[in-house]
Amino acid sequence: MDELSTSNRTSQSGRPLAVTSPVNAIQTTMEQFLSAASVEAVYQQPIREGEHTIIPAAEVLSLAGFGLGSGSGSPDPDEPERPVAGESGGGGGGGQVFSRPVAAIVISPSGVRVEPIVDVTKIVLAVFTTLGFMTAMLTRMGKEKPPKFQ
Amino acid sequence: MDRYMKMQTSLFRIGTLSGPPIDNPNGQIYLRSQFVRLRFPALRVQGGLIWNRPVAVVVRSLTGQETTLPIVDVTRIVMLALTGLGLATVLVSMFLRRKTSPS
Repeated sequence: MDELSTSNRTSQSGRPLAVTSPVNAIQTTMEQFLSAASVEAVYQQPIREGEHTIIPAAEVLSLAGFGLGSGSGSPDPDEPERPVAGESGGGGGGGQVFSRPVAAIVISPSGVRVEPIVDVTKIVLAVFTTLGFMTAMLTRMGKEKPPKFQ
Repeated sequence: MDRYMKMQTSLFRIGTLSGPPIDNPNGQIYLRSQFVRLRFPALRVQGGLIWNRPVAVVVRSLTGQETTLPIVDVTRIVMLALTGLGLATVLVSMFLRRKTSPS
């Protein structure tokens, strides 16, 4: 994490830029975010019902991004009527978590089995989209005439 | 070199995790998952993604015999097949168009 060190960065006035703490905060947040790769993120708590136990399994996709910036300025000697100096900074971030059930693990006295969870709505929409795309491509291919040569 | 390897492993990492055993009347169950971790480091812009997905269930019987039950993502397979079908349509139409052109 040497590339994140900003302790040596200073403004034009010689004062250290006030971004060290936000960078550290972002770094800490990213470390916590990236440590979310675990089995517990995929498999939920077992649900017990009589002699049967069900463990839902899902795929989880997490995205996150942060950014910040800062700037400083000193009085311009060419414009003595505007002796303004200062520094400022800002930042922002965002993230999204997608989760989709994949399967359910059923534990019964007769054994363990994996029941897939099929997203029928998603598949039907994809089938119609693909069929529409294929129809459009084939129709376009059938309408095209060979170029005329003089 | 060591620093390079360290940065490489921290930028992109893929691995398989196994959870603690779950007791059941027939033995023990181990849940396995796979993760893909990608990181975009920069000085003031950072980002990353983590993709966790279930891989398999390992069932260990009371006699010590292990059975691995793979977890198949049917929805993903169908979606990939449909995407491949669409791409194949594009390639076939391009091939036929080129074949029918007089040049």
